[in-house]
Amino acid sequence: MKLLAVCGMGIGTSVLLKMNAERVLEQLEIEADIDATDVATALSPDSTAQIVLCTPELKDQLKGIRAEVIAVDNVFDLSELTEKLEKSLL
Amino acid sequence: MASANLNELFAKGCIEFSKPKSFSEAARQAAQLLSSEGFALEQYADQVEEIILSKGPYMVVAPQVAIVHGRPDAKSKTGAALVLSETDLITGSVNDPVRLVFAISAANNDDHIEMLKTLSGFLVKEGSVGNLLGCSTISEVRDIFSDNLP
Repeated sequence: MKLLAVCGMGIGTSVLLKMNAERVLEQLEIEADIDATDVATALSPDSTAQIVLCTPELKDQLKGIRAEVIAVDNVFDLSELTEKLEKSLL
Repeated sequence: MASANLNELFAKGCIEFSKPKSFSEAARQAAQLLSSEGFALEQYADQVEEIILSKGPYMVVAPQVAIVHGRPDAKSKTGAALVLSETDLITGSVNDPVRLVFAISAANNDDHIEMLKTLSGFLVKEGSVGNLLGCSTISEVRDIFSDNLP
């Protein structure tokens, strides 16, 4: 399972999303590989990610992407992340 | 290297109460604290503001909380700053109003990520944001940072 965590530069918000999503997926015992990246890279047609995580403000910029986009309101809220990831993965 | 101790990450002079007129002013102030204390280059505030204006408020990562930064830079030092806004800042994010604006600078990617990990470890704990919002002095903020044992 391949996921992307996306933000404007690929090194801040996306890294926080990646860290906390990894914690949640480990608890859910789901094996996944998450990369943090920027919007332009995520939109590349070569991307094989099935799920893209971002904050809601970036959702519009990811329109047209093949992957399912999950907007996370609070990147520090592990229960929100758990709920949203469970809904798409289980 | 970034350390797990928040009080070491936030150098003296890098925590400030303020009444900014806008989110981008608050972000500039936070970045400027890093520049003034010798952590970031002089133009860091411009860089941070440019990112906000061009890419939108995606860095508002939780209710009332934003984390702003530019690119890690070998001429910079690894550090963090916090502006506690006494006014509600409207950014257009679902997490408005913003009251806490963190800025971070780093000399390299590893330090940058290590610092995000430390900040995240603190902010993921329930009550952290509320505790900071309840502070009215810098020493109260320092006390909350000190209580954040790993």
